[in-house]
Formats: sequence, C-alpha cells, structure tokens
Amino acid sequence: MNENTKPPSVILENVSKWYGQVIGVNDVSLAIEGGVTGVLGPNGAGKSTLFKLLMGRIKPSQGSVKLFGIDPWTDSSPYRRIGYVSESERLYDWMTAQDFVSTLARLHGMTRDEANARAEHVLEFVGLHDVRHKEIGKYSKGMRQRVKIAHALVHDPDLIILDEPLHGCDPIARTSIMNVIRELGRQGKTVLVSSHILEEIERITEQIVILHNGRLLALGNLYAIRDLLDKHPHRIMITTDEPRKLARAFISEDPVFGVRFPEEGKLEIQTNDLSAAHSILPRVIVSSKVSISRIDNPDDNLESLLGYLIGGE
Amino acid sequence: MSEDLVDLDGGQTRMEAAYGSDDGDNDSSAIVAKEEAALGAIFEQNYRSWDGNLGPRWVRNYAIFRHHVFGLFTSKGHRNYNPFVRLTILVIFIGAVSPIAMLFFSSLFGGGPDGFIDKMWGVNRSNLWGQVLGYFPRNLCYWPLLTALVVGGMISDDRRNGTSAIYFSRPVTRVDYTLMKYLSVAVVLGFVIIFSYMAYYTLAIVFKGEGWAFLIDTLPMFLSGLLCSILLVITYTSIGLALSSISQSRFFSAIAFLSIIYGTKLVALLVDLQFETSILYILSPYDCLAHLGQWLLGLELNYSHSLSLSIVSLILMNVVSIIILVSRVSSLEVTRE
Amino acid sequence: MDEQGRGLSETVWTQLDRKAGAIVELTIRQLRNRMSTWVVLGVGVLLISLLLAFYIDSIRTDFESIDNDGDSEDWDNDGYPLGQERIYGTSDYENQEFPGSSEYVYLGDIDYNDQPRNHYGNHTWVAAWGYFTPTSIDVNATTSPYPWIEESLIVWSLGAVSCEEEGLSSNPFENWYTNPTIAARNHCLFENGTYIMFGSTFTGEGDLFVEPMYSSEWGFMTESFFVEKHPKSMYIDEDDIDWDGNSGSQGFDDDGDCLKDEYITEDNSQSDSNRNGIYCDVEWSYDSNGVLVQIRADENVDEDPDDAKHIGESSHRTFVIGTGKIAFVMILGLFLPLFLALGLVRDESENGTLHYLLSKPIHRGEFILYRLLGYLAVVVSYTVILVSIVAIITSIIGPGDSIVRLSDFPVWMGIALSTILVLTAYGSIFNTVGLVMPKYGVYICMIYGIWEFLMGLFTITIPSATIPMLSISHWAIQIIDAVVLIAWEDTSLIQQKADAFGLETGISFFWHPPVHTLETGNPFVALLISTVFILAISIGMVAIGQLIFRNKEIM
Repeated sequence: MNENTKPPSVILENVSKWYGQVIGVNDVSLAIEGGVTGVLGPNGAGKSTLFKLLMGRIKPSQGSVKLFGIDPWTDSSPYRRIGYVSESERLYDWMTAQDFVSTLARLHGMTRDEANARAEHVLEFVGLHDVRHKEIGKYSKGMRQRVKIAHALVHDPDLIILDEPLHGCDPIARTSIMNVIRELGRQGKTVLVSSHILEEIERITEQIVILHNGRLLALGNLYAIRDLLDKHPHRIMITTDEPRKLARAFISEDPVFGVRFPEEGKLEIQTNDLSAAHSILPRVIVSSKVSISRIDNPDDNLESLLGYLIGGE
Repeated sequence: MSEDLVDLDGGQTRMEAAYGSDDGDNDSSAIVAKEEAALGAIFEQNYRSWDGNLGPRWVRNYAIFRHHVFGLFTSKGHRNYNPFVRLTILVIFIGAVSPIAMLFFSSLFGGGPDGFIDKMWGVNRSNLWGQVLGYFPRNLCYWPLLTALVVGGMISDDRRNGTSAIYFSRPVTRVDYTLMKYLSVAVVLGFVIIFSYMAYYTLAIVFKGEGWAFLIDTLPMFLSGLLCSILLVITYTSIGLALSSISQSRFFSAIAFLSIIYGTKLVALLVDLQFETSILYILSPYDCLAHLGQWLLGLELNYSHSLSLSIVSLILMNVVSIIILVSRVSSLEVTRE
Repeated sequence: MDEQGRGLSETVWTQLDRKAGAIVELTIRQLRNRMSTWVVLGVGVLLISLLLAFYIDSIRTDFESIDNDGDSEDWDNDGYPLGQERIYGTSDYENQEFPGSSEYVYLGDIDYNDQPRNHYGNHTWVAAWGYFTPTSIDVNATTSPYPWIEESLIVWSLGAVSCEEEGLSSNPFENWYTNPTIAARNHCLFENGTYIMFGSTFTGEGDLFVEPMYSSEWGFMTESFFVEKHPKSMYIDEDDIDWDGNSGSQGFDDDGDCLKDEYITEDNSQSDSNRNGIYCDVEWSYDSNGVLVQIRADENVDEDPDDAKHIGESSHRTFVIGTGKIAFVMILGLFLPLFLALGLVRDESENGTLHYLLSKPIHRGEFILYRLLGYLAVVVSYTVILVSIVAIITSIIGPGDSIVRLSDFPVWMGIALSTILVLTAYGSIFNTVGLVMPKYGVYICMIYGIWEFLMGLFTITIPSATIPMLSISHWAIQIIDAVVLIAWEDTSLIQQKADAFGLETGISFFWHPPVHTLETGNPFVALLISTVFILAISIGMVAIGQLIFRNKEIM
C-alpha cells in the first residue's frame, strides 16, 4: 500500500452542492493526505454534506470529488480503502457486535473465517472485545459509536471518515474514541473527523478544516490559524444615541485600540481580541449608563465562527 | 479582564441548556462567564411556572380529536395526512356518493328504459344494503382501503416516534387517549360511509320528489341500513385500531387490516365453493356484517349458516379488538419504543 | 485483496459470491428477527391448515354418491322409485300405477260420427255413453284404466238403480246428472236387463249401442303381476358414463329410461334432445386439434354417473386448483411481499443503516439484487415447504387406486412455480416502488395490491377477459391452468363431463383451459409465455429499481 506514486487520498475541486435553494457546500477545494484532519463547523455548516459527497452518497452539483483519483459517485471501488462512520445512530440492534462487523467485513469479499478474525481484531482495537457477543441493542451510546468505528476499520482502510464520532458520548467514551483516532493517525492513515466542538478536535489533531455556511473558511494548523486571526483587526458596531460618550468609556479598555464613528448614531470599536472585547462589552456599557439599541459584528464570518467555536460570543 | 486563564486549554465550560431561563426565544445555550467558571460557580435556573387554568377534560380531549380529524383538510397544526392519502379518501368519497349523481340524472331524464336507473340506483332494500355492504366496489375497494389509510399510523406512529409521551406527560388519561383515537377514526370513516349513505337516501327523496308515503315506507329500511353502517364503522375501527396498537409501523397495520379483510373473505369463499359450507364466513368481518345486514333489511339471506353465529362472531371480533387495543394502550411506554 | 496472487476472474467471482452471501444472510436474519415476519408466515400456515382440515373432512366422509337425476325418489309412495316406474312406463305420481299393475290396452272405440254405432264384445269399456245389453258383467273389475277417470268406475257392490223408478227424461244423456242417485252411480238398469251408461267404466261382455253425438271406448286390462320393489339406492349411480375414448356417438342408456318405446315414438324431444338423429346417445365432439370441445347428451342417457369415480377425482382436482390459485397465488403471493419486500431497501434508507452497507465496495445495483435474493430465500423456501406438505398429504389421502397420487406432484410444482414467480414479481415491484417513492410508495403498493386481487378474481372467473391481462395475477393463474392441463390431460374432459352430466364439483369455476396459447391450444405455450412475462416484469422492475437507486442521493 504505497500511496507515494498515487494521487492524494482526497481531492475536492470547486465542489458545490445545493439542495434546491439551499446551499450545502459552496465551492470547496481541498486536498488531504495523511494524518488526522479535523473538520470543524457549527451545525449546518456542510460537514455531513461534504462527507456524503466524499462517500458518493450524493452527487456534487458542480466540481469534482476524487478519492484515490476515482469519482466515488460512479464507482464504488475506492470503498475498498475507505472506512466511513456515518452520523446515523441506528444500528442493527438485534445483532451482536461480532456479527455486525464480520457481516460487513464480508462485503469486502472476505471469507467468513477471515471476516470473523478481522472483526475480533478490530473490536479489540476499539476496546469492545469482552462484550463482542452481546447484542448491540444492549450497548451504551459510547459502545455503539465504537462499533461503528470498528466496522469502518475492519478492512484496514487507508482513509477513514468519521462523521461526528464523539456525538453524544460521555467523557470516558470520548477519551477512548479519541485515543483510537489518534492511534489511527499515528499508523499513518488519513483520517477525517468532523465535529462542531473545537475542544474535541484540539485533543485529536492540530490540522483542521473550518467550514461555515458551506464555505471553506480556513485550513491548516489550528494554532497558526488562531494567530493569524489575532493579528486581524476586528470591528464591533454599536448603535447608540450617544456614541461619543460610549467611545470614551471604551477607549480606556485594554483590548480596544481604536474607535470610529462611521455614521450618525453608530460607534465602531476596533480590537485585536474579539472575545476579550466581547467580554468587557456589557460591563462598559452598563457603567457608562448609555442606552444602546444594537450590537453588530460586521466581520461576521471567520471571526464570529471561530469566536463561536472558541467560546466567546 | 484577562481571559487567558480559562480559555484556550480546553477548560472552556459550555452548557447546553435544557430549559432556558429566559423567554426561550434566545438561543438555547447558556454561556458561562469565564472567570467565574474557573473558580467554580452554581447557576440558578429560574423556571417560570405557568399558573393559568387547565381546560376542562373534554376541551383537552377535543383537542386530540380535532388534531386527527381536521388533519384531513389542513395539516397546519393538525395531524399530517399524506396528500396522497387525502386524494385517495376523496376518490373513495366520490365513489361512495356516485349513486346520487345517477339519481340526479334519472330525475332529469327519467328512469331510462324499464326504469333501469331506478332499479340500479333507486332507493330499495337491496340498494340501501348495497350502499353500505355491497361487495364490489364498496367493500372490495373502498371501505377497507379507507380504513387502512386512516387507521395506519393512528397509534403505531405514536409508538414509533414516542409521541405518546407528549400525551401522557400531560393531563390526558389513557382512557381519554384511546377514546379520542377511536372517535377520530370512527368519525373519519363515518364521514365517508355513513354520511354518503344518508346523503344518498335524502337526496333520492329530494330528486324524485317523493312524498310522505314513500318516506314512511322506506324509513324503517333506511334506519336498518344506518344501523348496519354504524356497525360497519365500529367493527372496522376496532379491528384497525387494534392492529395499529400492536404494530410499530403504519404500513404493517394498514396491510394487516387489508389482509384480514380480504384473506378471510377469500378463504371462506374458497371453502364455500369447494366444500359447500358457508360456516367459514363467520371469520370474515365483512361477511358477518353483510349477513346481519341482510337480515336487518329483510333481504334473502345468502349464507347457509345461522345468523346468530355471525352476530356472535361480530361481537367477538369487536370485543377482542377492543381488549387488544386497551391492553396495548395501557402498556404503551412513555418513552420511544 | 487482489495482491494475493489469485486470478482476476476467480477473485471477482468469489468476492461477488461472498458479498451476495453476506447480504442475503443479513436479509434473512433481519426478516427472521422481525415479529411481523413470523406472524405473517404463521398466518399463512394457519390458512393452509384450515383448508387441509376441510379437505380431510370431505375425504373422510367419502365422496357421497349423489342421485344426479333424482330418479331414486318415490313421489307417489307406492314403494317403486321413479327410476323403476320409468322403466315400466308407469307414473310415479299415481300410486295406482306401478310396475306390474294391470294396464289398460286400447282396442277400439265408437267416435262421435262413427258408423255403425254398436259393438259387441267382452271388454273393459271406458267412458261408455249408451245402452249396454250384457251377456255377463265382471263385478270384480275395480281397476281404472286411466287414473283420471277413476270416478267413472262403476262400483257394482252398491247395487243397481232402476231407470224406470228414477224417471229418465226423453233425452237421458242430457240431464242425467240432475238425478243424484244416478249421478252417484253413472248408470241405471232397465227392466229388460239393458243398462244405460253415462260415461261409465266397467268390464263385461255384451252389446253396446252408442247414440249419435256420443262416444265410447273399449279395450282390455292386462293381468297384474308382481314386480319386486327396487331399493332406492339402485337408482343412484345407475347410469354411468359409457365412453370408449373416441369421438362421435357414444353412450348407452344403462337404466333404460331413455330407450322406452313410448318416448321414441313421440316427438324426439326427449330421446334425441341433442338432435344428432340417434336416439339415446351422447355426442362427443372434438376440434381439429383433437381437443374435446363439447359433450352433448340425450336426456336420461348416462345421466347418473358413478360419483365416487367421477366426483372424487374432480373434487380433488378442484381442491388442488382452488388452493393453488386462491390460497397460494392470490393470498400468500400478494401478502407476503407486501409485508416482507416493501421495506427491503426503503427501511434501510429510512433508518440510516443503509450507510453501513453502502460504504462497502458493493455496487448499488448488486445491493438491490442481493436484498431481493435474501427475501426470496425466505419466501421461496417457505412456499416450497408449504406446498410440499399440502402435496404429500393430499396425494396420499386423495382418491385413486395408487397409494400416492404421483400425477399431483407436477401440478403442485406448477403451483409452487407460479407462487414463486408471483412473489418475485411483486417483491421487485414493491421494492422498486418503495425506492422510487419512499413517501407515497406504500399507498401505491396497497392500491396496486387491491387491483391485483380484483384482477385475480376476474381471471379465475373469466380468463379470456382483456383487462386482467394487465395484472401479474392473471399470468400466474394462467400458469396454473396450463400446468393442470399438462399434468392432468383429461381435466378438460372431466370439466366437460361435469358440465354435461351434472357433476357439480366447482371445477368449471376454478379451472379454464389456458388462454394464451397463441391459437395452438398447447398448454406448454401458455406456460412459457406466462412465465416469461412475469419474469420479464420482475427483471424490468429490478432494472428500474437499480437505475433509480444508482442515481439516488442518500441522505
């Protein structure tokens, strides 16, 4: 399995997908190869749509998707090398984990014995070896997530796509799943993990893709992105009757380095640290006793998104 | 106001709020101020109690009833009947009232050669019977399909989606729940079956300009037919709801209902033709009703077994169905099954 | 996997095989784990058991011999059944007339305008009007020649009435009945020993003078003799079908109720009711292909065949055909797929479990096929087992000389084939509809099911109707019709016999010769056409399903 001469695992070129009037993914171009990549974005950002495009579940409205150089919509052969954990919560509750994983393994063309052996192996890898003969219906949510991961790993894939694998898990299950994912990354596989919680991704990988409203917002090392972001000036627009009085109160504050009055009744605050600025906002406004009618973020894309992900509002 | 203490290292505290402490039109997550979070803090959740007056029991029940019945006409705020289902019910309704059109024609153009139209569609014993209990097309195509469509998800959807919890976590008893479901189905079926029957009779009198004598002559027959149609609605509703209560998918109950109606009829027919005994018809809900209806309307009975067997069987079917329904509803879990 | 040095074809095929195996197995286990599957299959078994119970019950009581022509009845209660009275030419509606009762034989009469108007002899005089001068009178003759003139019989024991004393009018024949004494006796006696008879019936030797405008008749009564009364049972199954297997005039009136002379001399309406110019026969006509077209029997010929011989066989066939068409094809064939096939792919995609299966290197088209195979594995084995059980039981207890009715098995196989084809066709249709229209599909399937049901019923009654050809059930029923004709070539014959000789077994309702034989009358053609038609629909539906599924975006 030497990918060196082969095209990168995942290539998306100008991919767009819309459902009627709704845009799911908007002009996304990506190439991913090796290691764990976190796909971040709030609900509805297009993470699942992106993964479904990758898995050939849906057809891109524009652009092309290539997995190992093959279009997954028309050809199912890349699935030999891909493991996919869908966001679906439903499993065959009446099956045991061993049966479930080995049945799906047989869809890779393994014999029954091969499949059973592989299933046992991956179930051990995800830590379900002891309970593998119990019916899935009796599993807890974390165990179910791990069964889903086990089935995706059963054929030793090169590319693993995990859609919200940590969703709904308690911290213990979360940790063990994260360990599994990190381990996969260490083995040199290409892993895509989606989440809407930065903290989860942070613990797995530093390499992230940020999606928002179907758009690719940022790509690369998490900390590099954050640094870039901090060097950007940010603006907060406040609509008030007494902008100048409010400006005086703000200018003395630490995160604020400038104010502007773009039009009548409006105050623009410039800052390097959006979250800090937001956190002082209520206190300053209250102490200045100025009534305000509206607060806006004019740079309402990357910053606000990251702000959301990082925690400030 | 430095934030570095608490922020970036994963100590961020977020909380998905189950119940907002405000009016609820803001976003549903409560963001914790960071400094306090680092030191630890307990947040007060202020639930606003509602101290209005509960509507009386029957107002609540009426809401359930309305939810199911009005859904036929508009799904806004009511149970959503699939447009296809609505269309089918409409077609069935039009089919059921089609004799009225024929009567109308006959009043305009006369009864046709030898009063053909009057014989086929006019008011008489067998036509009153046939308007409710005729096999083709009413009991072969219309009523079973109608029942299957209406009854399909009536209770099974609640079981499947766990929406029964929405009822039972409110001051609605299981008896009221069952009763209202039953009534809703019966009213929808009744709207098509009984209403079309009454419209047929009434308009027949109007179109033909019949007098009091005709009315007095035919009223007993009409009332017998009405009784039949009520029995039909009750029987089909009982069986259908019982099936709906034991199944988790609306299609299972619908198809199961159809298979009971058609299966029993066909097997009984097969045995009747081959072994010349009509006894197996007591298994068929339709034939029990038809038998009773023939007797009520004073028609010649074309079943050779005793009428009382049919009546007993009809009662048994209803009783068993209702027992199943009641026991299933009373064991309905308030969680998603 | 392909790095392991195996040949490409081998790899592809064995892998396909394994994938198919996995999905088929998954589907079977999935169906097995659903309560509704067991309920549905259980109800099917119950249904078949019920039919078997009725069948066994009717076999146990044996095929009761039926008096098809009703001649075992004794309507006049004289102890002689209708059949026996018919042979002797006596009426079964007059208890005076019975086989061996003395019979009046006509000799001569004086009509209204005959000349001369007197006659001498020793006779039984019938409805005599005139003056009788006796040589001797048989006062013991008490039998009336005709039942309807019994009242005119003179009862000599009542004693004679004097004509003079009663005072006859000038024209005594006109008003005789006004005198009650004479009216009661029909005669009076003149002093000179001559009787005057008012339409009376009596026996004696003498001279009768009949006045103009009146008439009299005479003859003699045969000797009565004793005829043993036949038991009623003798007139059940007394006139079996006589047929040597050829066409043309056949049949013999075993019980002699057609060959009676009197009937033949009359207007032929009875003895040659089929109007082929031959008395008391059965006309068997064939068409140019040697297929029996019609049997036309004269009345009272072969009219009461041996029921055990004919009805037994034909009721057995009726059971097999009826069960095959209605229980297997129409009930099981329609409802099993409705319950089991509709959700094969649709449920998976609704539940989201489809994602697990489709993230494996398997083509979506293959997936549909394997799912259907899994469903078929369940329903086909179910059908085969059920059919085999019914076939074995009925072929052992069914009528016939051999221990096992081997000729039944091809028919049962045909029924199984037809059911399996129907299950396949409906399965693929419902599956595809469920795929194409996840929302409305089920309603469409339900309405389609009712349509099929209706068309099946139509096909059973009128197989040549055109509209039912638009349904699967029509063709499935054709298959059974064709197989019946192949396995039991004489079914047509049995049906014709049933129609011609009044053997009511329902076979004429449940079976008709196959229609789609392209004018050849060959059942193999019909079998082939129907099978191909249903298979084509199944394959077409699977293809459509694959095509749509391949281009379907799965959320």
